[in-house]
Amino acid sequence: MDAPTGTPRGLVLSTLAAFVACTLFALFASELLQLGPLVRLAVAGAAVVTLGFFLVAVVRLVRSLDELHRRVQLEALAIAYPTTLLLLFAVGQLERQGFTVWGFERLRDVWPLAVVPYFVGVALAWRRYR
Amino acid sequence: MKNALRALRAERGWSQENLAQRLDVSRQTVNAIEREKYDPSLELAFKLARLLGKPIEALFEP
Repeated sequence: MDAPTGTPRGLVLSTLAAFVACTLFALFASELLQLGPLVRLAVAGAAVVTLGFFLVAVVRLVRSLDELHRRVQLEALAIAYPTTLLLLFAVGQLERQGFTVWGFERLRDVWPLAVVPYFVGVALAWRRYR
Repeated sequence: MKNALRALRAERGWSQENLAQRLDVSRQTVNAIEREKYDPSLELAFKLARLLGKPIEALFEP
């Protein structure tokens, strides 16, 4: 999958904006619009494709970073990935037992919060090198 | 790892930003090396030594 050309940081921001727009539209469409199955499939597919472009852009950005920034990203992911799994596992277990966590009714409502451990990880990693 | 980067950079009158540009790294990386918070890779250490015209053991001390 080829992302559009541009600076790595600009690409990340533009593909992220496209992904957020497509996801919000998909949410809006599923709740408020009466669309045919093909259009719904296209709406869902657009969100997935833009997420794919975002992932490609992130990889390009990481490849353009210098060695310290790459190490910070690695340490941030080493913190964020297991933390996210832990949070999702905890919410899933509570959901299974019939509890609602922080107003989230379904596990799929929680995943956007998975970016929080990443930013915490970046902050913690940078503390070490500043 | 201890290093003499700050002193050697100051001798040449280079700013951190200036040195970072010559090394093709970020200013934060130069700062972290100078503050001995980050040990550079061998590749970057050799690049530094070449740029400063010193042997690598004159720059870094284990």
